[in-house]
Amino acid sequence: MIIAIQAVLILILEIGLQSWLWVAGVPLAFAMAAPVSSARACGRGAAAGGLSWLLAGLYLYLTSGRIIAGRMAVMFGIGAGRGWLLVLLTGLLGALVAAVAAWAGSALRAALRGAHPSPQA
Amino acid sequence: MKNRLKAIFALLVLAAALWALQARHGSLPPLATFLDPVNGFWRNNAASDAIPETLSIAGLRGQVTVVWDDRHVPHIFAANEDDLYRAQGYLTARDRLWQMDFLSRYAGGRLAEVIGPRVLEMDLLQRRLGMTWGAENFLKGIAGDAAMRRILTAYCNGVNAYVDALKPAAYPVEYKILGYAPSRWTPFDIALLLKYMAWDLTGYGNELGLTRTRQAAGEAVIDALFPFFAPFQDPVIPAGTAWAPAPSPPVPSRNGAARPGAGPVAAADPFGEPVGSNNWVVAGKKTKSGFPILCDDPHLQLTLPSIWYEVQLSAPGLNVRGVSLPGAPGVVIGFNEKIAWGVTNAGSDVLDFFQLRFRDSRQREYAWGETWRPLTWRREEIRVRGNKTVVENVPYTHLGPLPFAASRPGRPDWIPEGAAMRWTGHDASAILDALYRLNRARGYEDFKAAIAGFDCPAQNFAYAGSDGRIAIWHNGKFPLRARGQGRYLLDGSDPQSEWAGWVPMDRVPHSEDPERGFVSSANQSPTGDAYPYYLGWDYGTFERGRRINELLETATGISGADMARMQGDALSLRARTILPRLLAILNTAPLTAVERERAEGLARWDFVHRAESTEPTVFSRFFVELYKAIWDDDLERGGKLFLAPKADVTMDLILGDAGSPFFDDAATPEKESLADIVVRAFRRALALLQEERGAFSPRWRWGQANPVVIGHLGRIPGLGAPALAVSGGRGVINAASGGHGPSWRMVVELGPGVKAWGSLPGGAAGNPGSRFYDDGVRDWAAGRAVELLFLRSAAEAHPRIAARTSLRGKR
Repeated sequence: MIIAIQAVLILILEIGLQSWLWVAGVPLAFAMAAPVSSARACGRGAAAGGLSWLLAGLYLYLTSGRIIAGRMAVMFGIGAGRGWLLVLLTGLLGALVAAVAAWAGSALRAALRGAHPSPQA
Repeated sequence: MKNRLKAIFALLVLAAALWALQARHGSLPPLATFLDPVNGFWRNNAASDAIPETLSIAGLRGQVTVVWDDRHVPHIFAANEDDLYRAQGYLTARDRLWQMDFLSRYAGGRLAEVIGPRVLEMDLLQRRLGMTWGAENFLKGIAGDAAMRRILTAYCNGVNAYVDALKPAAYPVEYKILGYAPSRWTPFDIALLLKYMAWDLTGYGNELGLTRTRQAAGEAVIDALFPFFAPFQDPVIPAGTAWAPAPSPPVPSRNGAARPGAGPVAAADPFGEPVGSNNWVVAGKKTKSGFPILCDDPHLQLTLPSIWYEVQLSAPGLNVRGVSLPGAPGVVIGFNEKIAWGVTNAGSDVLDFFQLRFRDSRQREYAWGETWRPLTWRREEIRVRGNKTVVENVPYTHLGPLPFAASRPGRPDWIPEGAAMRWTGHDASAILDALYRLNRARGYEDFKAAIAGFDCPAQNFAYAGSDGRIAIWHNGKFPLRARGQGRYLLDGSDPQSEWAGWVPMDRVPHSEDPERGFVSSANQSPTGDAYPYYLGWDYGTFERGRRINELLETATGISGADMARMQGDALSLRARTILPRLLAILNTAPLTAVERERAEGLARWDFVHRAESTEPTVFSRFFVELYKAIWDDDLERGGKLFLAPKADVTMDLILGDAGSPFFDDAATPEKESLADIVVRAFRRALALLQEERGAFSPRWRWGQANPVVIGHLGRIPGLGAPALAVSGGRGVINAASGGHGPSWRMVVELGPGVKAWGSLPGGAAGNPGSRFYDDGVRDWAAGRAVELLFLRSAAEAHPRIAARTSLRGKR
C-alpha cells in the first residue's frame, strides 16, 4: 500500500510541479518518516519510483508513444524498432533514483534520531 | 557520529546522482529529465494529433475558426486580418516552434548560444556575411509601413501567445534533447528567416575561381569553358524574342585581381547545382478544362520538419491556400480563387565582390577613386553556451561587409580575402508586402504589381489566372551592369566598378500569353543573347528546362493528373544527348564480356532514372568518372582551372571537339584521346561500382545506389526519414537525389472551381512523435499527389475535414 501511495504521489507532484525530482523527493520523505530498515526503505523506494515511471512510460508507449519511442531508440543507438526498451530503461532509472533517495532518507532518519532521541526510545 | 557521517555520505551520493542525471554529457540529453515520463520525451507523443475544440489565444479580437483536414493542414477563417495573422502565428508555433527558432538562430549566428562552441565558426560566418545587418535593414525599410508592421506584430503576438503558455513538459522534443528553452518571437526573427532564404538561393559566386582561372589560363580558356550563354540552353524566355534596346552602363576600366594564394579548391562535380526548381503553366488551349494549369516544384535541401508549412488563410478580401515559410506570415507559393503562382530560383547574379586596396597594413582605410575611405566596424556579440561571450568586430565598407579582411579559419573558399560584398539581400526589401499583395491578387495586373516588390531572392514567377492569362517573369532587383561586370572580382578602388542602378522592373525578362501556349522555367538562362541587360552567366544546365518544354510542346488535352505525373518525369536528357556518342566509342573498344554486357544494357536503356533500373546507376557513375577524367588534372594542384566547367560545356566538347586538349590527362606522359578516357572512365566506373556494391546484382538498382535521404534539420539521429528509393535524380524533372529534391509539388487547375494537387516530403507537424510528421513522404517518393482541400467558408462540409477548432481571445 505504501508503495502505491508513493508511486501515485510521485506522479501527482511531477505533473503539478513540473519536475522529475519528485521521483527522488517522495521516497526520500517517506524513508525519513517510516521506521523501517534501510534495506526495506530502499526496496520500497525503488518499487515506487520504478513502478511510477514504468507504468507511466508503458501507458504512454501503448497509447500514443510508439512513434517517438522508436525514434528515440534510434537516437540512443538502441536500434530501430526497439522503442519498448526505453519503457524498461525509464522504469529502471526511476527505480534507481528512488532507491538512492530512499537510502539517503533512511540514513538521514537514523542520524536525526541519534541526535534527538524520541521520548519513547 | 557514525550515523551522521553515513547520512552525509548518502546525501552526497544522492546529490551527485541527481546532478549527473540532469546534466548534459556530450551531445546526449540529460538522462533523467529526458526519460521522465511526465515531463520528458514521452510527452512528445502522438497525443498532439488530437485537435482541441477550442483554444484561447491572448489578443484575439473576434472568433477564428480553424478547419483541419485529414492531413492536419489548418484552414484558418478569421473576421479580420489581425486575427488571421495572429492565428497563423499561433498555429505555426504549435506545429513548428523549434524549426522556426533553429532557422532564425542559424541565420542570425546565434546557434552557439544554445549548442555551444562547436558551432561558433558557423555563427561567426553568418555575422561576417552581414546577416544581422541585412535583417536590421529589412526592418528599417518597413518602419514607415504601418500595415506591414501591424501584420508582423500580429503574427509575432500569435507565436508568443503559444510560447508564453508553453510548459516545459510540452516543449518540442528538440528543446529537450538540446537542453534549452524557447524564446519569444520578434519581427527581427522573421527578417532573419527571410535573409536565410535569400542567402540560400542567391548566396554563391564564382568570382574568385574565375579570376584565378583567368590569371592562370587566360581569357580564351574562360571564353571556351565558361561561356556567357551555355550550350544546349532553351532559355526561360525563348531565344529569338525581340527586346527593346537599353542603354548600357559604362564598362569598368579594370577588373580586380585575386590576391596571391591558393584556391579556391574546385571539386569536379558534374552536377554542381545544389538548388533548383521547376515551374510551368499551360494555357487553356492545351488543357482539357480550357483553363490554365500551373505547376511548381521548388527543389531545396530536404529536411524534417518539412521546409514548408501548408495553410489556408481566409479573411475578408482574402482566401489563399498554399505553403508558408514557418515563422513568417502569409503564403509564399500557392493560389486563390482567381490566380495561382509558383517560383523557381532565378539564378541571376545579385552578389559581387570588390577587391579592396588598403592604405596600409593596419587595414583601416581603403582606396576609392582618388580618396581613402575609412572602414566602419560593427560589433557582433556571440554568446556561447558554457563559454565566454565572443566579440567579433566586422569591418564594413560603403558597399557592405568585408567578411574576411585576411585569411582565417571558417572562410568558405569561394569568398575572397580582402574583398567587400555587395549583395541585394542586404538592402531594405518589400518582399513581405509583395507576398501580402500576391495572396490577394485578383488578376494579372494585381500579380504584376505585387511581384514588382519581390526584390531578393530573384525568382522566376509563373502565373496562371482564371481569366485565362498565363505569364512568367524572371523577377527581382537586378543590378545595372555592363556585360560581364561582376563575373570576376571587381576593383573596389574604381568607382566605375560599382552597380550603376537597377534594371527597371518592367524590363526584366518576361513572357505573357505566348503563342506556344505554355511558359516554363528550370533555373536555366532567362533569355538568349539578345536581351539588352546583363544579369549573370552561371545558370542551371539545360536538361530539365528542355525536357519540360519538349513534353509541353506536343501535349494537348492536358489534365491536372497529367501534370502531376509530369512532375515525376525521370527521363535524363543528359543521357539521351551524350550516351549514343559514348556507346559508339565503347563499341569499338576491346571490352571484357562483363563490360560489354553493361554497355549493351546502356544501349537498350530508355534514359529513364527508374528506382528499379540498374542502367541509371551505371550511366551516372560512368559520366561522373568521365567528367573527372577530363577535368581533375586541370583542377588539381598545378592545374590552371580554379573552377570546374559544367556538364553542359563538357558534353559540348565531347560532341563537338573530339580533339580538345582537355581530354589529355596531364598527369601521364602519354597523350590521351577522347576514346582513351571514355573507355578508361567506363572501366573505372564499373570497377568502383563492383567494389562498393559487389558483382552486378539488384544492389546496383538506382533506388538503392542513389537513395533520397530526408534528414532532420538539426541532424539529430532518428528524427529523419528512412532512405527512399525514388525514380528521379539530378538533372531530371523529378530532381530528387541525395538530400535534395522537390520540397513541395503543386498543380493548380484554374477555373470557376479551382482545383489543386500537392505533395510534401514530410508532413504538417513538427513533432517527430506525430503521425503527421512524415505522413506525406511515401506519396512524395512514389510521385503521388493528393488533392489539396480548398474551402470557400469555415462552414463548408467536406468528407476530408477532420475537425474544427474555435479560437477565442483570452479573457
